[in-house]
Parts: sequence; structure tokens; C-alpha cells
Amino acid sequence: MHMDSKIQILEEQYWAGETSPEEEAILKRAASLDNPGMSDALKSLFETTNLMATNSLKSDFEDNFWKKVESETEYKGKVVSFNASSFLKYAAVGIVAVAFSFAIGNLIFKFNAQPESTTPAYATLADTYDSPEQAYLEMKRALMFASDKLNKGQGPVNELKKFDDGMNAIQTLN
Amino acid sequence: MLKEEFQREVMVFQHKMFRFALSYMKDEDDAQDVTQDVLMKLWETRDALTGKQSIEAWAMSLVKNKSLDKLKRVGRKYKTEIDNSHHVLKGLDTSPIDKLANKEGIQMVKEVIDTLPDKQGKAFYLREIEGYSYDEISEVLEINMSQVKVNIFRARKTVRLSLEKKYAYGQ
Repeated sequence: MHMDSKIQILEEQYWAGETSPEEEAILKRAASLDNPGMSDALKSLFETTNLMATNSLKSDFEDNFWKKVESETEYKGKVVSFNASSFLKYAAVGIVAVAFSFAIGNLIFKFNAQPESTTPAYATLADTYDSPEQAYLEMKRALMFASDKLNKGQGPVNELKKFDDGMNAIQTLN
Repeated sequence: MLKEEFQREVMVFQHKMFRFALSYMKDEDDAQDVTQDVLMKLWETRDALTGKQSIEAWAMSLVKNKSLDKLKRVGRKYKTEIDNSHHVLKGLDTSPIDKLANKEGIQMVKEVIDTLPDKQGKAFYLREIEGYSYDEISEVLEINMSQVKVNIFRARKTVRLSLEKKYAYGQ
């Protein structure tokens, strides 16, 4: 089979996505030789992709990269890195110390504190009688006593009043 | 992993990483930043690299993810403007191809490639520019083999139709 025909067949296979890398290399070689069996479209495609494959980084890229690596390594060495396990260890010790101090302080405080009365204040105001009837009789007796004494006390109060009036009279005469 | 080994095993494909980042970022400085960030991450995790089946595929996958993250943060959509293509084909002015027609032809092809849908474009790029096998493309783009084949087929079909139309009608 004529080479040009072979190239044409291979080209059709290429466009259909059926060529191997080796067959595509053959086509690229044919394109570079301006094979007449190949279409202009494929020739220009290979020409373009060959040119695109020559794009590269700037010449100082690699030097700059290693300089950056060195500066990052230096920086990380200077900065104290946060270590979670150490932090937790110290935090745990701190918590235990605080809790222990608190417990000791509490014990001391409780030892020195006055014993609290267990009787609530309101309990002094509680009823002294077991039944309402008894409480009523006692109240009645107390009121009668007070009433009796009120009347009896009136005499000495009148006497005191007379003494007071007399003293006032003497003072006005002086 | 020591520095010398890292240079031998990883830095050796820094340019591929850059070109792949460039296919996303459409800007050389941004692509360089992405490449540097990914290499830094690879350096920091170098001890874990020895267990990787393909360090190159892993690195390219990181480039893809980093580029997409950066594009998302910046809020830029996938650039397809023609005016960006001249940043990419820096070899165009200095290449032996000095015929105006060829330069225009190359720019035209670049435009067609740039306008491919995302997955098609990336699969096409990895195959045509970097010569990756379908297995490697599958690993980098994190898609299965049949998806790779379909994307390559569709991308080539689109490119062919566009280029034949341009060549036929001079558009």
C-alpha cells in the first residue's frame, strides 16, 4: 500500500480516537515531512500542539522554589508549634491543682465556720399549742388578765398624774 | 525523601505541570503560582510519595485541583478569549515558522482547542500535548477509561470539523 494511503487510513483512525501513541507518533512524523496524504487540518493541529509542548517555566523558577522551601523551613523552626497533647497534659494538671485547692479551702472553711442552727427562723413563730381550742382558751385567759390589770392600773396612773400636776405647779410658782 | 531524590522524581516534570496549569489559568504568572504551590505541597508530603504508583499522575491531578480552586476563588470562568492565547504561545514569534499564514493558522488552531468543553479540552490536552496514555489521563482527570475515550473522540471530532470549515471557507 502506498505510504500516502497508509497515512490517510491512519488519519481517519486518529480522528475516530482509535490510534495508539505509536501510531500518532507516525502521523506526527508524517506531518513534519509535509506528507501529501495528510489533510491540512491535521498538519496544522500537530504543528500547534508541538509548539504548545515547548512552553516552559522561567529559568529561575527552580532556584526560587528552593529558596522558598528553605525560608519556610526556617520559619517553622522558629515558631513554637502548637502541640495538642502537651497542651492537654498541662491543662489536666492545672484543673487537678485548682480542684484540689478548692477542696482544701472548702474543708478549712467548713472547719472554722460556726455550726449553723438547724432550726429555721420561722419555727420560733410556730404554734405552741397542739389544738386550736386550747389556743383559744389561753388567749381568752390572757386577754381577761390584761383587761383586769388595765382597770387596776388606772388608780396608780391617776396618782402619778396628780404628782406630775403638782410638780408643774411648783415650777410655775418659782 | 531527600532533595536530590525529589529533584529526580518530582521536579523533572515541573514543566508539564506548568503547561497543564496554563491550560486552566490562561495566564503564565498564575500558572507559575499554581505550579509552585503544588510542588511545595509535594515537598511537604514527600515521604508519602514513595508509595504512589505514579507520582507524575498524582502531581498533575493536584495541579488540576489547585487550578480549579484558584479559578473558583477568583471567580473567573474558563477563559476562552483569543487575546489570551498570545500569552501561551510564546514560542510563536521566535520559532522558525515565520510565515504569517502559519502563525495565523496556529493561532486559529489554538482558538479551536481553547473553546473545547472542559473535560474534552483537558483530555485532548493531555493526549495531544503531553502524550499521555488513556490510563494516565483517566488517573489525572479522575474519570473512567470509557469517559476518556469518549472525550478524546468528541474533542477530535470538534477540532476536525472546525479546522476543515476554517480551511474550506477561510474563517
